[in-house]
Amino acid sequence: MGLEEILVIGMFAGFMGLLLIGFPVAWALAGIGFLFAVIGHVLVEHMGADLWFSWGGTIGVLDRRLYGIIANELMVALPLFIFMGIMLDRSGIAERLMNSLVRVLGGLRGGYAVTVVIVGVLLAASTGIVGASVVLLGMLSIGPMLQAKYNKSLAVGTACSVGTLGILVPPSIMLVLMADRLGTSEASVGRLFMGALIPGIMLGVMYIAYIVIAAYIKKDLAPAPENRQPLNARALLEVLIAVLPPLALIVAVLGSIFTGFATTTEASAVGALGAVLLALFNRRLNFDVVSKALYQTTRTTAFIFGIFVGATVFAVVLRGLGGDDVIRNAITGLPFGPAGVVLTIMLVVFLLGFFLDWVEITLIILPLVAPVVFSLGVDPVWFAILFAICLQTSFLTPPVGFALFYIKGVCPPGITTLDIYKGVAPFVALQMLGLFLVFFYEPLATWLPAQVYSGR
Amino acid sequence: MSTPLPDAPPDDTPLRPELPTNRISHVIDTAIAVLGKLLSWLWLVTLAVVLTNVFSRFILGRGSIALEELSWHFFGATMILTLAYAVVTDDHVRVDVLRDKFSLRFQAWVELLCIVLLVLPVLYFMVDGLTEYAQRSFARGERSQAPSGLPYRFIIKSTLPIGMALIAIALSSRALRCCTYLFGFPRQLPMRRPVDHR
Repeated sequence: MGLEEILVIGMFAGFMGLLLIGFPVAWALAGIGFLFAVIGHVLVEHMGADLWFSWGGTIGVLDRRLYGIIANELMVALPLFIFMGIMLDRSGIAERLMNSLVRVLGGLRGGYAVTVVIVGVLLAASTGIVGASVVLLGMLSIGPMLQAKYNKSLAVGTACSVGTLGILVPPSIMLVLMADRLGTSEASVGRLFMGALIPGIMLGVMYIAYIVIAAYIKKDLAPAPENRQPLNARALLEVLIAVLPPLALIVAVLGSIFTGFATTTEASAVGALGAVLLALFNRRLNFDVVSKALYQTTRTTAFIFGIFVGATVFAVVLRGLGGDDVIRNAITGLPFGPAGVVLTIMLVVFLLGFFLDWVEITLIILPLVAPVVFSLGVDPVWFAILFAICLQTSFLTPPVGFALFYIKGVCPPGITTLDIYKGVAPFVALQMLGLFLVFFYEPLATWLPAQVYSGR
Repeated sequence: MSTPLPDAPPDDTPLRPELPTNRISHVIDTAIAVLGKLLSWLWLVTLAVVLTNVFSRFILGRGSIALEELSWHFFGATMILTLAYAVVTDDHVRVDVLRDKFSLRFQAWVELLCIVLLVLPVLYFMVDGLTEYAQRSFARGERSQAPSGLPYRFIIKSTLPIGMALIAIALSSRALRCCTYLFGFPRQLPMRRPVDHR
């Protein structure tokens, strides 16, 4: 093993070490980057080591790199999408959607759980921060499902799984960040949104199919209410009134990006405005709501960009120490060609997802592996979507998938960790199935973007 | 993971014992939190700038490069200058898998040593480099490369060293709180309950 390999492994090991002790990720990245810059400097300048490393080429270029983070019009979309999501959460749209849809679907077996899936997919748009959507759906739906005598595990499992769909279903801020890091026009934000649309809806449909089938096979799993109210035109109209505004908002945001009518940033601004207007129509708009939403936007944005700053330091030093070559050699040395490479990366990402949020993985791992993978002729959109589904599955997988920790925080007493594990298990299986479908049938991710962008 | 949550349920307040604070840290934390909250309102300005550009493009038929640049100027300034606010509210993500197994004393030692030995030095080099970077921009009278773009690039470039310096100040405050816990110096500021700067 050469000096470069030892240093690269040392960097990752040091980072994981600091991380597991509980030091903030952003500063662990920056700190380890610095430590290894000092080590590299000492090795080269004082011990005559055979390295390409230079202080000026790593720490010395940080000024330009950090400026590059903000001098980027696409990044403006992140806080605006985050603000849009928070406003949607606080606008009361979710409750209204849930209440009116339940009137229509609640009479069926499993109807409530199906409603949760639909609301979740519609509002998945909302944040794309796993914790936020899991907590929102959990608080909104677990209580009522238990009241309707649903099986505990099914209720919790549904809320938890649907919450994690949010990072995949566009407009997801994870896909925006991925597109930025991939840095190729073949995987632009528009294309990634397009590519995620079919797999996202497919997973939602699979969830619904599972719930309906399971509820019919096991009668006590998700019983239909005994005194169901007859369905009338009024209830249908209310559903329409509740569903149309958020649906229109999402269609407007996605549509304007897909048609090339607006840039991602412009669409996010229109979406944010729409969310504010929806809150206004629901009489939820006041100083308190707006100020809290703004503060929260700041803290969420800061947590993403804090890692961005830390990852920038880490990445320049890693590259300075020859890390790119080490990673390239490691990846191209894998057996079974491109498919083997992609599978191995997915496995690593799946495992990393137990410890790290999508932000860290997207900012550190994706830029390291993507260029190598693309040079093997792998389709960028397909790879990014697989990456996204894989992360999402990882967040859901017991015992350490961290959507589970969030859902535990909002579960009513009497629901054990085992109930949660049992509840998400079938959904993890569905995720795996979805992942394999996309893996073996590439067009699920690539067909739609190819159709839409063929002329451009 | 401790991602910032919306409407976190009431019982979701930090379960782990918090670090005690002291007079200096309390002043610094409060100041940075107030600054962060004030700057948060700039998101609305950012939103307004992008929307203005959208409307001018569809109504007047052309977008403005100056407005487009202004949008990321506001975004960049707000983002960079509020990173320190998230240090104060402890919103920068930590991994919790093993963390609860360590005593608060051990965590405080790790936090103190990492901040002082690793993070403050790298922030020093960053502030140093970024200050020079902004000064060069000022001296050259750097402006946008687009003819109709914005002048005075040094303004946005100056926010970078300031933002990094604010992070350094916020982290120093946190290091001092570790000292208060570990060595009883600076003296603990008695409080009925910890201040929530969120």
